[in-house]
Amino acid sequence: MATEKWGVAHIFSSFNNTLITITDLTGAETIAKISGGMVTKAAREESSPYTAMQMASQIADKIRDKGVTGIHIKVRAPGGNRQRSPGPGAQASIRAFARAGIKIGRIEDVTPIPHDGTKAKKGRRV
Amino acid sequence: MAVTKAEGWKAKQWYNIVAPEMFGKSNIGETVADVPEKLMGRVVEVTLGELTNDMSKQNIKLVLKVDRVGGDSAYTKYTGHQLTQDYLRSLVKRQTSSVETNISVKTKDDYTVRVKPSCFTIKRARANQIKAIRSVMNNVIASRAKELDMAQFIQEVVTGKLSASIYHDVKPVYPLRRVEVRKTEIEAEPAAS
Repeated sequence: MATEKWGVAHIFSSFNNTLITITDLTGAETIAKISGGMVTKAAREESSPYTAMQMASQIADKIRDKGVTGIHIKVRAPGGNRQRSPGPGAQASIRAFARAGIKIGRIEDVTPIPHDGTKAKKGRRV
Repeated sequence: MAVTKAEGWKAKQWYNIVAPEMFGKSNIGETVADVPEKLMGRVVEVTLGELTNDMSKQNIKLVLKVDRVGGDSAYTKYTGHQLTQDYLRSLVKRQTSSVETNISVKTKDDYTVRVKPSCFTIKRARANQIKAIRSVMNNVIASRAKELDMAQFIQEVVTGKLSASIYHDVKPVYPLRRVEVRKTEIEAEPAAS
């Protein structure tokens, strides 16, 4: 345990962007963070799986420099009164972490689920 | 910002997080901080499976809070537990009732603990049966808590002994599929400490 340092990767994946923040186990200290706009120029590609892959491999290098060798993953969709299932970038980034040689602990969905809140936006509400 | 951050990172130190006594004081992992005062009040979530190396306990998350720092280790205390969302979702089924209750009990050593158990029945129960199940659950938990210290009580909750005794007592009232304690929270500690 002494040589292995674990962190937590908070992956927020919506239809418009993907954000990855790596913190320590408590979540109080940010080790590294990256967003779609830091990798790609086109706004419409910020949420694409390919961007998420590049993001993950870039941030994997960063955290390896700081000595973190394994991560637990907390995936999150917009939630609340918006969609509950993670966007296109979530799965791609998890896979890219594994490919980059970062150890993966448990994977958990932490999408905020309302216990009944405000009314959702217009359109068909399921 | 980028320059100051690099300096800041070098100034920071890693601290070991140590589990509470009732979970064997094992090493959970590390956290990073520049001054040890900042460690106080940080919260770690660990699964019971990781603490005890028991793979069947992966769906119980313990919430531990740092309350003392000594040298390069941060000692934690238990503040609550929770079942993982996906496991709880897998228990809920159609045509069955899930009877939930939420009571606050006092343990023998004066800790106030909020316990939130639920019973999952085999078939859909009637309202008066649900009421009966709920009152039995409340009685079992209150009587168990009165006899035990906080550490022993939490130990019973997370190992499933409390669920087993609820199951045993509710069985004559209505057939059950499963009993789980969804969540506990430590609400108040004894005034002396």
